[in-house]
Amino acid sequence: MKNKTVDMNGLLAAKQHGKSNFRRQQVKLPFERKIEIVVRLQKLAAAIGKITGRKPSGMTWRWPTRKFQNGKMGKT
Amino acid sequence: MKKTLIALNDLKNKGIIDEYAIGGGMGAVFYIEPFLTYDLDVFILAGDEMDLQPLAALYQYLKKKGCRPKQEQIIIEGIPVQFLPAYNKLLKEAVREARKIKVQGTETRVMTVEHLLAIMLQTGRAKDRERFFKVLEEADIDRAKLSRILKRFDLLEKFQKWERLKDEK
Repeated sequence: MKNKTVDMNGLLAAKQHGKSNFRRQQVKLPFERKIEIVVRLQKLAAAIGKITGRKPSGMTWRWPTRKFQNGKMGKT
Repeated sequence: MKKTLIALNDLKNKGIIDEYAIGGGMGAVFYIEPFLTYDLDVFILAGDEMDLQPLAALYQYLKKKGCRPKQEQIIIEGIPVQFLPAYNKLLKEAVREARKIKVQGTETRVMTVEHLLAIMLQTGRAKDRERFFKVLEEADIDRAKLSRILKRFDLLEKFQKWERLKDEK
């Protein structure tokens, strides 16, 4: 098998570059558009909460719960 | 959102509150990449901060307008809004010096990014620390202004402590 060398630093740099470009675009969005995204995130969080039985609080993601980790879903 | 902002401006125009500014998570979203946050934190200046009467008048007015209270928030046009009296010098300054912006053609006020950072430092919860570094990384900050605010409100030491903790991670 041909020995392939992978430029990990290059890949990481490219990934980082892409991420920061995306982030830069997000940061520059008009406030009303950002609010729309926040509302979508809230809906998504509510949907995830229904599945896991718990809702995330702010930025602190609080799942999986012990029950969920054990392969069961439900309220704790 | 537009109707919520119109309702906020109404409160000021009718003299129920002296001034208001958007802060908290939604305030931070104005400057950085959107993230999950649940309510609109509105800091208000209204008479004596120890007097809860302005909040009572505000709730009464909004209830008459058909808004319903839900726990510590009040739902205005579908958006949960939490009114918080500016109870210390930093918050008062942040409300007074907030910047005017327009959202969907409606004028509103959002705290400056430097004041938001200082408030996060002062409040000091885990989520404040998380947001603090996110804002520091993504927003355009006037470092000299931030430094002045931190110095004035005795927050420089805490800032250095948070920086150390971040480096240790």
